[in-house]
Amino acid sequence: MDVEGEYTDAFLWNLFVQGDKSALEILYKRHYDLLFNYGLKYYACEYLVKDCIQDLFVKLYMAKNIKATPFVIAYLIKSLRNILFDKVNENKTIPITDHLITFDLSIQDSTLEKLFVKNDRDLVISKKLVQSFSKLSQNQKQILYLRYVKDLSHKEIAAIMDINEQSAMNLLSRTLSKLRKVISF
Amino acid sequence: MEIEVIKIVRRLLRELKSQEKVEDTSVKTRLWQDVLDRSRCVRRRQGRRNLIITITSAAAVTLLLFYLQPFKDKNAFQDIYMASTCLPDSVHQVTLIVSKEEQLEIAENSEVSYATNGMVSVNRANIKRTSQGPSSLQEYNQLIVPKGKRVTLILSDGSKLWVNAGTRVIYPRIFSKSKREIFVDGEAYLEVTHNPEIPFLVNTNAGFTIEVLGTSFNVCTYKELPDATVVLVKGSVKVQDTHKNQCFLKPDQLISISSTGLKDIKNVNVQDYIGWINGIWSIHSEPLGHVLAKLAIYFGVKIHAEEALNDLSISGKLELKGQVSDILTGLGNIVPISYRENSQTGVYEVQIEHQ
Repeated sequence: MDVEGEYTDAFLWNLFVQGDKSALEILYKRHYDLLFNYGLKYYACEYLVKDCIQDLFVKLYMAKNIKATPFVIAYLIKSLRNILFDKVNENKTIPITDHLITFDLSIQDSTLEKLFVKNDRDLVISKKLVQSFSKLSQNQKQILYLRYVKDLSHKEIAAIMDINEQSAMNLLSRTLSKLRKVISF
Repeated sequence: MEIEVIKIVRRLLRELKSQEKVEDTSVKTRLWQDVLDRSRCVRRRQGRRNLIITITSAAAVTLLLFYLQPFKDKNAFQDIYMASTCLPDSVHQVTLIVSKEEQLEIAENSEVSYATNGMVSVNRANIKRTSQGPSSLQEYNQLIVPKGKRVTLILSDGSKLWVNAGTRVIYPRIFSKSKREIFVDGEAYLEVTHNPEIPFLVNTNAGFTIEVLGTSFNVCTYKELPDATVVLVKGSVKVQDTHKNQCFLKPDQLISISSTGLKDIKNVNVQDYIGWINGIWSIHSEPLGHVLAKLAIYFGVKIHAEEALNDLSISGKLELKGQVSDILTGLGNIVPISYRENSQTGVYEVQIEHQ
């Protein structure tokens, strides 16, 4: 682990709040991939999402009154979401076709076929899973993504979704049991 | 059953994780540099705003004076642009307008250069000013390049422009201390002298402006082509349209701008777009109609092309030498077209050859 890796987000954020811009640089590099991937789930345009991340950090770099927060990831993700929404709604140069901007991810059928090439029953189950995942609400999709793909803590997830920790855990368990039902037949 | 399902879920999660994008550390370092560069841009703009706010709180008269200042400048280019009767289509030689009274004709491929004190020279020979009228150092000069000719221009800050055929450039003899602002209508390749303190602004008549600190880029606003384009070779530029939409270009990127504003950005080979300064032009699947339109401007001739030609696209390298007829003959070897020169009108008529 590199030296920068030893500092927690909250510690670095605190340094940044006190005026240390290099702390912001460490946070930028540490969470760039997370922000980029998260943004793409809302709007699958790499150029636009990248641009929003740059905007976010320019704003932070220039900001005069930044508050301390224990949930740095949540702060960054929520800010990015706001910038992305604003940009998509305002920017007339982006051809908005049929989509509202919603959180979405999935695995293609062709990929599943490659993954479970040896076992038809597994393929059927996996297809069922993916299909029922696609029918989940945005919040349900998002919480599964943040928890199991991004391995974020319950606390951080709750902060991202603007709910308390208990509600986040409830949402998670309800979502899981919904998926479980699909394959228990 | 349960264990199998867990295995499947694990596999799906592994797949989802592998689909996540990971940027290289070097890329992130470069992107962070971009954050720093943009922050500097923003700070300057905020500084200017603060100044205006301070002034508004002062006396009303001063307010009026300062408030009008930025607008006056914006219109200066438009005023000169609209008022001038000297256009690329109406002159036959490269023309340099030094003041209202003085116009000079300049040989093609010359180098017009402004020293830091505003002294003009053409191919290193100083120009004597004949009139002794009141001359403000910040007065605007104009360079008009007719179709078929080219010229290079060095501005008072050392920035260099390769000005292509059919182009007008308007610029102050000496730049002010707060900004460097010029106007380009046509095509030019610019190498802007780096100065992070004084931004360099290029105004166009195609509904957009370009702001840079020190970079190399090509701007093309020919009316004969459907979209204007900006291609960045080095550094970074900000392009903003009249609707205040803006975007930053990275090297090797091209943005097209239509009459409705900024359009898409794409990655390109920059040599395709700046080759003209060395008389070589590489083309990658461009509609033949565009190629002929550009050739007509480059050589200062009239080319009339059948509309159906736009369905043909060509790729290759053209050496922009000799006569336009040689090039048209050369094109005829690649694509099924033929041309004839109308002896009465001098127009080159190009049509598809049906076999």
